[in-house]
Amino acid sequence: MRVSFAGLTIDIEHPSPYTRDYCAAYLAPQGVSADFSVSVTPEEILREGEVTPETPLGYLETLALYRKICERALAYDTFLFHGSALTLDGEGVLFTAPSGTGKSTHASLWRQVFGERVTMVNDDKPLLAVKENGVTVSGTPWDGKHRLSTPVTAPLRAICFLRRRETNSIRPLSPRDALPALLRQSYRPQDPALVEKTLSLLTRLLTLVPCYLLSCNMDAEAARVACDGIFPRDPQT
Amino acid sequence: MKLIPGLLIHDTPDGAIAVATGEAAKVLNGMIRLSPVAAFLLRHLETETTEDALVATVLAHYTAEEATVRQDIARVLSDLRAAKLLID
Repeated sequence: MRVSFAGLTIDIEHPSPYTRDYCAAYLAPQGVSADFSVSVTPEEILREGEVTPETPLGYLETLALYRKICERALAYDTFLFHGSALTLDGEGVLFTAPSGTGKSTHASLWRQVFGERVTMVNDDKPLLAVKENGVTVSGTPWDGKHRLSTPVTAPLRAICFLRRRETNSIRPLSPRDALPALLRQSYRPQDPALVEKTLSLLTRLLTLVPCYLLSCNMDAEAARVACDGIFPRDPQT
Repeated sequence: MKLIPGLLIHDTPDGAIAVATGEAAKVLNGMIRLSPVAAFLLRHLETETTEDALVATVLAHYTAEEATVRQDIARVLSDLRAAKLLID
């Protein structure tokens, strides 16, 4: 099957029915040729984890495929980032934090507060493409347990590092202070040359996209505080 | 002696960092920030070398007293050994 996301068109060889269904929203348009193809072996699939009712063999296949795709995507200055990404009026914001902190919950607050102005790009593992004059964030089929994503690519306006606090506040984070957390949340390939490429992309990203430290609780006010910090001149907020 | 395989030295606008891959990732999680001298030393430890050779290289590039250079290099090497990042 041929799929498209993040400006890439990819042939997936011998997909299982599970993978076909998993990627169904991202089928490539007719007539578009593939940038590259990927396939996985049974050994590569089983390396992704144990087969359980929650993580059946087909799901493990999708993980193995995404790993291959993400490693090939680096050649196109594109890398996987663990976070919840949305757009507000078409501009991308990416929330990131260790698992369980509340990235998806915070993104849901934005949907609650700003309604149709918000589009969920990818709630789990979006792809970031570092271009000459900016960074884009894209939806992919690998969009979390609630399957929240949209087949779109949007300019990335900000990256917010979340931490849970009693009260809500946001402040800019310097590139120096942001780098360790960015590195932790980026996919780390095994191949040192690909790690070096990832580091180069992160270094460039930090010159193009502002980062923020968002301290927040689970109230709707958290979304307003975050938005005011990222889009300070937005009259509608 | 040399660094264990897989330790990458990468330059950023805020200075050099070391990131572990492969074997090195078993002992180093995340990244470490490097002073200019530490980055210089680690780059020269990517291939087999000796403490005397490192001292000579540093003295060739920096203006400093040999005793001070030896002391600083010994400290860096001690830190690397403690972190299990050096193969003697």
